Amino acid sequence: MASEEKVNILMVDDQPGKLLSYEVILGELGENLIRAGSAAQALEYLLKTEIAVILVDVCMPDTDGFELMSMIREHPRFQKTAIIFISAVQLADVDHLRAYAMGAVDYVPVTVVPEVLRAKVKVFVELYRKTRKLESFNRELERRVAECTAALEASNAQLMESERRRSLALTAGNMGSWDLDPVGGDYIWDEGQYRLYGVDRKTFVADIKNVHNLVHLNDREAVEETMRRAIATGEGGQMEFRILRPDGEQRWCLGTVAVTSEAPGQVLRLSGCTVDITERKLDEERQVLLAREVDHRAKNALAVVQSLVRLTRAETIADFVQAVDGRVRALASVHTLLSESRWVGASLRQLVEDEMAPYRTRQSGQISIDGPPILLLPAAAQTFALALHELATNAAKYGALSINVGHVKLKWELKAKNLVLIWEETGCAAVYEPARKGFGLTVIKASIEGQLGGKVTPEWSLEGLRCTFTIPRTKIMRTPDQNKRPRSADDKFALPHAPEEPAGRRILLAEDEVLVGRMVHDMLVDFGFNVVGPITDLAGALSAAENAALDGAVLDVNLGGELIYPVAKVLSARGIPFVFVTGYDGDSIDERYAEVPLLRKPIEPQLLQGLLMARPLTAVA
Amino acid sequence: MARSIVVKGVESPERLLDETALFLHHVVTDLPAEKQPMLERLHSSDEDLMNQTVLLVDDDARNIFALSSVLERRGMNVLTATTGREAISILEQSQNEVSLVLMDIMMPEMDGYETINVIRKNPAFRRLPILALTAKAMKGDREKCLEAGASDCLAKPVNTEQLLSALRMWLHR
Repeated sequence: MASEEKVNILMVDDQPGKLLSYEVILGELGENLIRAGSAAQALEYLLKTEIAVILVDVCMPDTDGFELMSMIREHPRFQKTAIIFISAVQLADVDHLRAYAMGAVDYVPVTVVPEVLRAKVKVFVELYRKTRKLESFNRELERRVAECTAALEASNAQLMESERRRSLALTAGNMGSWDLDPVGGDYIWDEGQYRLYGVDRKTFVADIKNVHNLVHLNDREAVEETMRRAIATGEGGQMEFRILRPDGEQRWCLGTVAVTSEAPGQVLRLSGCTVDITERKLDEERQVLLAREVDHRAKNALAVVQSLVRLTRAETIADFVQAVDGRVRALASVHTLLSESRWVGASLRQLVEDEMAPYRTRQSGQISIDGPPILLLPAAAQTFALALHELATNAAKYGALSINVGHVKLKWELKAKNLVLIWEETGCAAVYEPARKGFGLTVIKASIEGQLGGKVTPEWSLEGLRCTFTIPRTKIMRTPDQNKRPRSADDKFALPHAPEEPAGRRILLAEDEVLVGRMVHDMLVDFGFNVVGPITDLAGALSAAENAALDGAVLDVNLGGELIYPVAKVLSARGIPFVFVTGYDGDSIDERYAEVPLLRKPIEPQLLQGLLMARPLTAVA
Repeated sequence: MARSIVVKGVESPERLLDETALFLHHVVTDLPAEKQPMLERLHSSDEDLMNQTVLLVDDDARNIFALSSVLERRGMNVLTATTGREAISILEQSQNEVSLVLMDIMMPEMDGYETINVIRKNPAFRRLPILALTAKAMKGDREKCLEAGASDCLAKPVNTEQLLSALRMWLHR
């Protein structure tokens, strides 16, 4: 015990001799011995020093031992301090002692036996030491408990804060999170989850049945399957599904489920989160649409170019190149105009200016342009550009723009139902009606009359060519009822080259792109067919399919913005076989007609010939 | 009687009643029945005393021991000094830790009056409550205490309840 700190033993006696003898007896305990010659002195020591054991003589002059003990015991600090009386009086005072026996009290009779006194003091010293140790352990324990409590409180507060932040983040990100007790069957939803499903926390009971009912009918089974698999494998899962909010709005969701389990197959809890991905889905759909549209336009453009090349006639290669070059250029410039407007339309004036720009350089004032601003629909703009190009090219070759004194006046005005555009050449005395109504005028008539349902009136005078286009407004401009196409009998279609008395098999050709139509028409004629068409609009095609005598048909799937299927239906009903032509991918074909042969633009003549000749056309059931 | 009244801020009727009772040396049980709960409410809580530090100054260790016994039982911290000089040095080292001093007047060498005088000279202790304890029931004794700078004066032998009331009053925050 040498390593342990010494404790204080207070000895109280009014006789110095006795104090000395106690000191001798207790000396070998190795503790600190403090001598007090009076009760007052003892009290003073007690107040200032830690005392382990007090040794008191019962008989002292001023304050006797009992009085001193009662004072000590009353003090809260010394209620348990060990007191040993040294008393000459024996039995009579034992009862007296008992009254104070709440603390450690003992007594030693005189004459003092050194071993007995030493042993008793030693017991109390040990008791004191152990009590101190216990107290210090307790204090340490309390400190640790306090520390743990504080740490727990801090981590609790942190948890709550993080939960609050998580909830905020989830809400901001259009997310919700949930917990599900697989036994009870009740969901615990956070705020975001209620918001996402569009239900009120106060009125909506989020149990399995109610939540299930909000899932889109077509996705319910898949959602259940995902949950079942998550529970079975314990690995969780993820899936996209739709929900229908009570207000009828459909939202796309990405759901993730996680499984908490104690042992394999023993699911304690399912939890997960839901993300609203409706915007993303819409974006994806838009992208797919856009990609298909771009694809379609590119293929159509190539098809137009292909037919331009095939239809161009020229004496020399140089002329041919020049002609093709000019026509492709005309298409390219209108394409630029359209793409600048994001395919909303093209300004007629801008289109005219662009087309006439190459001829303005020769001499200013040779060309005058006049007319109100008009925004042309994309398809009409292409047609216009080509028609104008032909007029300008002709003028440059044979007309007003081939001589310096010539003049071209181009003006248009909007009438009640029509757009009237007049191309007037003056000052060319030596201009004759071209002997060969080559591609130029053919294209102009086919475009303006065939595609736009207008009327072309060319007049030749001594002054030069005067050409008037009269075109229905509904074909070229965006009007409120633009989407509703009239299917009246007046909506006539041109059959430019249809023979009066068909000798071979009769093929119906429905194609809204005039040049492609012309090209396919020429191909079919080359193959030995008689051609009905090309017909450029659905009403015309329907009418022909219903009434004309036909042996087969070549149908553009998308006719002037409308799907050809009504025509296909009529033909099927009549047992007339047909093939489809499309600028789109195959998946855009209605599955009812999956068996129908499909040609892609630009059309390969051998393929078309092969389809029509190699095997007899059979009707689709 | 007017000469004995000390004017100070009274924060509540309870305190006023308490103070007058204390001043008039009334024992609480002698007060009218409806007044007693007022004081009991005031006294029932040791809130004002808990963890406050008192310096006891007395040359008799038995007095100090008995007083510290009473005060510690109510959760107070007790510092003790047996001479005036010791009291002054404890105060100067305690850095405003002491919130009240109980000062015995009759001490050898440097008596209570003188000690209070010295303490009051330090500006830091100008407002420190010092309660003088005096065994003299002589006329003019109280005035002498207050003159010396004591905040209040209690007669010896000290009645525990009176002492605690005085402490609560002076230590009330």
